Amino acid sequence: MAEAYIYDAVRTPRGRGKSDGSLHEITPTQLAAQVLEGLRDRNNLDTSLVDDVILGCVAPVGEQGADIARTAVLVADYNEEVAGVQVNRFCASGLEAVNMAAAKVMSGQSDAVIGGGVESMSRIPMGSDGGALATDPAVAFKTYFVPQGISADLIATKWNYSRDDVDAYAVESQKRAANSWEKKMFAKSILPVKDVIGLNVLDRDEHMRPEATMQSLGGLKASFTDLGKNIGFDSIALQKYPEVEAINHVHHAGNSSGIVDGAAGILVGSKELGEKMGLKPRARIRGFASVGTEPTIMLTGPSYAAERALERSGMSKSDIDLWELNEVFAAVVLRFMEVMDIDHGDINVNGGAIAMGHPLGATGAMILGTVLDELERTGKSTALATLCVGGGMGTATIIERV
Amino acid sequence: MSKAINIAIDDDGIATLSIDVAGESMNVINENFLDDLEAHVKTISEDENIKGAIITSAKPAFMAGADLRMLGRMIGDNKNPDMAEVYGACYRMNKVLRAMETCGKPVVAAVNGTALGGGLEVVLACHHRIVANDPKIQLGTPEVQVGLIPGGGGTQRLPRLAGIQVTLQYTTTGKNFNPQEAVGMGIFQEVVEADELLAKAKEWLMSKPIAVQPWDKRGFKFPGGGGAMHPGAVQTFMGANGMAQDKSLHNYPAVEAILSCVYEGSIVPMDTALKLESKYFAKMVTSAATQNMIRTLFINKHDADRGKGRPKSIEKRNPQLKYLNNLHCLQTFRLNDYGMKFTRKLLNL
Repeated sequence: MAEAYIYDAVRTPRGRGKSDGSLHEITPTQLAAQVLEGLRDRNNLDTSLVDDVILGCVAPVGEQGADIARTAVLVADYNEEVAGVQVNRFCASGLEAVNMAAAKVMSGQSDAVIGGGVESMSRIPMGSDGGALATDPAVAFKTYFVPQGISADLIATKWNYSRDDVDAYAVESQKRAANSWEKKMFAKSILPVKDVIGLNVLDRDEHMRPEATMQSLGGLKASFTDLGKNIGFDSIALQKYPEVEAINHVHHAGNSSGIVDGAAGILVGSKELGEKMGLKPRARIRGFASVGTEPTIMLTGPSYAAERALERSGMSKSDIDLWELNEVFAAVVLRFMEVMDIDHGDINVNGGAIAMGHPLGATGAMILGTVLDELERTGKSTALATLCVGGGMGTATIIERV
Repeated sequence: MSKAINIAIDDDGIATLSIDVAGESMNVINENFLDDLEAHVKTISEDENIKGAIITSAKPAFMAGADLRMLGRMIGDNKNPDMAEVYGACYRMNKVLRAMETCGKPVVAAVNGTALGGGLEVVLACHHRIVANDPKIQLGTPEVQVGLIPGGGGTQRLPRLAGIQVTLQYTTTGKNFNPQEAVGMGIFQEVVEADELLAKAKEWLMSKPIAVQPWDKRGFKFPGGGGAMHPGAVQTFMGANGMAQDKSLHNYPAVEAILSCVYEGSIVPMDTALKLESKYFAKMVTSAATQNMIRTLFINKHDADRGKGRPKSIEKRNPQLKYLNNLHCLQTFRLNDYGMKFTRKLLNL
């Protein structure tokens, strides 16, 4: 089997996902196209060598619909023979896109594929694509569907994380993100976003709140109490988890991932591609996995995905130098650290989505790029990036510097 | 002599259908009623002298729902009923009512008394609905209380008249409403004094109304939105799914079936929607939970209330006896899904 290498990784800064966010005026097609242009221009990439562009997008409707990957290929002036496909594995779409790109290269069916993702949450709000999971009674009843916030609070309750525990994690995430920006640790991968006349509209993640403290977070009201108690979702969770007596609602806007706009892309290719293009691979993709888990608690997938990816790669936990888990809710990361026995000092060392935001379709590719930068900066070798996924799934990817 | 519905045609060509189901103190939907209605609809449609029809009741109450004993006859003791056959029997009511609302002649309901379940569904299939101004009149769809769903088009016509949210509130709980509330909900067009009921019904027919339901007209939109795919309905269904599972604890399949009928039916045209409803009805009629509920809450309770098991030596009004009878009823309930899951989990099975 051929090896798949990462040749480059870029991401846009993340704009606040509201109408006053800096990226609100930028179309999602532009966000994705600028990422493709960035990968091409930074690497003098002959785009005729690229077989496919795979982009994650979680709300692929409206201007994000109708295969935004192919649309972005055309807008970015790639060779018109480059195909494009949009994929949706909810929050892990961006990482899944990279894994699929790697699979195409490993199988020998492609030499170069770009995997990444895009989401303009300010323009196409989360949930715009509808779907049967929450609304179709035949599906919602069968799966004991609850909204993600209830699942996150269920995790906190079941693993006994207090409000202070999740808030402390959030404060640390903000600190790490601020520190990483201050020390320019993201500089290598950030691609400032330009407007229609070529001026920079954003060159820095704008969702961060480095001033957050335990006191300031303590003043925030838990977000999912009403959904849980008045709409009945706590009851559904308890029907599935009768060993839990009552849901402790601990998550709020300050310890959950931020709603933002952004895009990211990773150039994956064979060894021959690098030789042909004169590019030096930055890392090898050792293995990856996606796995389904119990859908009501929904967000426990990362540990299972990580274990499966490790097993497939013939590796063990101790072989991983750095871990990156999307901070969709603080309790998800706390549980992962506990069940995987990972030190907080080895995971999400540059902060995460609680501070910088989670542009759904793009995040997976963003955090893989971030952890690659960190491996290079610290001289470490291996990293595992993973995300929890709606509907009860997890996706993980292991990379190793070469 | 008719067994369920008398028909009289006056000089103006107005046919009056008086429901008077033989052998019943209250009108119920049984085979005789469906036979008569089918025949009368054919007459109304084909007889050129008939301009329109009024449906009313010859009894004090307008009509109750389906005869639960008839539903029992549909499957008998068959543990593996032929679903196509059961569906055919369930669909008959929808077929007859659909034939009525598409017969080409205007039909008006003159509701003189309580109309529940299938009785209300007959009313909903009329083109115009008038109810007597009497707060004692009970209107509603109580089917869910015996594990059934409205199976005469109620899950389809109610949301098209009153909106999805209102429909879900009433059909999943079986809560009744009175005539004034029914007008507010958009289910009835007029509430009039009881003695004016037939005159007002005839007056409407003489105004040469169009005999087409709103949902059969091009460009029809649901009150409050365009069906289950409307963005507003996403929140409605998500919330309804949550609240319904909270209250029913996965023990009442009919609650879920009603939600599914309204959800799925709101995306397709009426003819398909009615077939879907009949399929869900067939699913409920043949389900163990529904059969148990009908047996316990209707048949056994009926017997228990009358002291069927009372030994002759014990006096009739012994309060302890009633308690024992009710206990016996409740024992016939199966250990429910929630209990089973909980127990399995506790025992690590």
